[in-house]
Amino acid sequence: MPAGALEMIAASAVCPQCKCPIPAEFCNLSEPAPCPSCRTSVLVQVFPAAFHETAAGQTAEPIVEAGTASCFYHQQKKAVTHCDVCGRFLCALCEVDIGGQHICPICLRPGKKKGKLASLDSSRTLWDSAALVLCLVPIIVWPVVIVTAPAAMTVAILSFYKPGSLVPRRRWRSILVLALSPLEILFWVWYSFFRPG
Amino acid sequence: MPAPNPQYIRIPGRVTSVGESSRLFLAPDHLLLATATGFTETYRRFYFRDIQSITVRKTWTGAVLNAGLGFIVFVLLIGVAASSATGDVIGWSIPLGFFLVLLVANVARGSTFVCEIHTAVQSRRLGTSHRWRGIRKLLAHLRPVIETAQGPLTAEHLRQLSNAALPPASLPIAAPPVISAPPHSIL
Repeated sequence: MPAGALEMIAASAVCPQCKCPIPAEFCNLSEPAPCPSCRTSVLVQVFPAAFHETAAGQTAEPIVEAGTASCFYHQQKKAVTHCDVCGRFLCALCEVDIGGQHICPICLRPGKKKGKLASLDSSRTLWDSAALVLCLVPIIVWPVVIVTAPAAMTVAILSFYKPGSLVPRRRWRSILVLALSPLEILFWVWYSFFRPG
Repeated sequence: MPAPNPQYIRIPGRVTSVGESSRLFLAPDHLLLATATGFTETYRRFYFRDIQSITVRKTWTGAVLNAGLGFIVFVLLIGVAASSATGDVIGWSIPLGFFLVLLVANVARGSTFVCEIHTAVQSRRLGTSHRWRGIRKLLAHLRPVIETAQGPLTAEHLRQLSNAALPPASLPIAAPPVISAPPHSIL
């Protein structure tokens, strides 16, 4: 039992309404129970991580023996691994562990920027949704369709090459845009130049 | 840089509010909250090993919605009762039927709840409002995977841990020190 476990229970199991600590007998029940303080119906599920102490961060060891491999970025620090991308030696401070891969901070930045490290992505643009809106909404303002329909087609094609949503998502929006936009263009040309009367 | 996308499995249910919709996905080692706002999808990851607690709180949203719909149904019922012409009765009955269906559906779905997930460094609301059925499904998905990552913690075990941490009742509680000097002299 780590020291201060009760405080840890209190820190992790508080009533979401009144922020008062929830007693242990009210935690991990299968049905909501009234909070002893505010009587709001609450359900609190506590997991063992609430009792774990936060691990201290790693510190890089200085080189004490001659001939020991040093970190590429910190010459005085002992290398503990190498970057899986560029192969540079890294100390414990420079090593970033991402999904079992050891990556140096320099390689991390372009990987994140280009969307190649999916586990670091915090947002993605939904190009297919943008294409669909660009295809359908301008129909209300008919004359602009001759501009927006090709633009929608371009965005739809782009959506096949750009990194899309991280989660499973069907491609029906892009396909619909690629089917509708040429029809819109054809109809616009017919309506503008060949309409009888 | 080879970093394959983890295989996400969708947890049934979608929570929508004005301008955004949230969905939850399970990956082998984390829970992903995907919130779509317009053309952008933002992600929050909660690693199973880090989740300290999940809290669920009952909200008044469902009751307020019931009251609002009930009031509209009541007004429309008066309209139907006060009408004598067949056309008027039909005219009142169509919106009455529509709102009655909404009211019955809302009552049948039950109370609304808000679910929050807590880690050592963040607390995040999972969408805006859930029904109890959705919460049960969500917990049924999450509990086993979190317990696989962290080990089980039953209510009984938690009670034992809490009792073990409590100080003995016979121990006197130390009174806080009395500061005799006036505050301005300390400052």
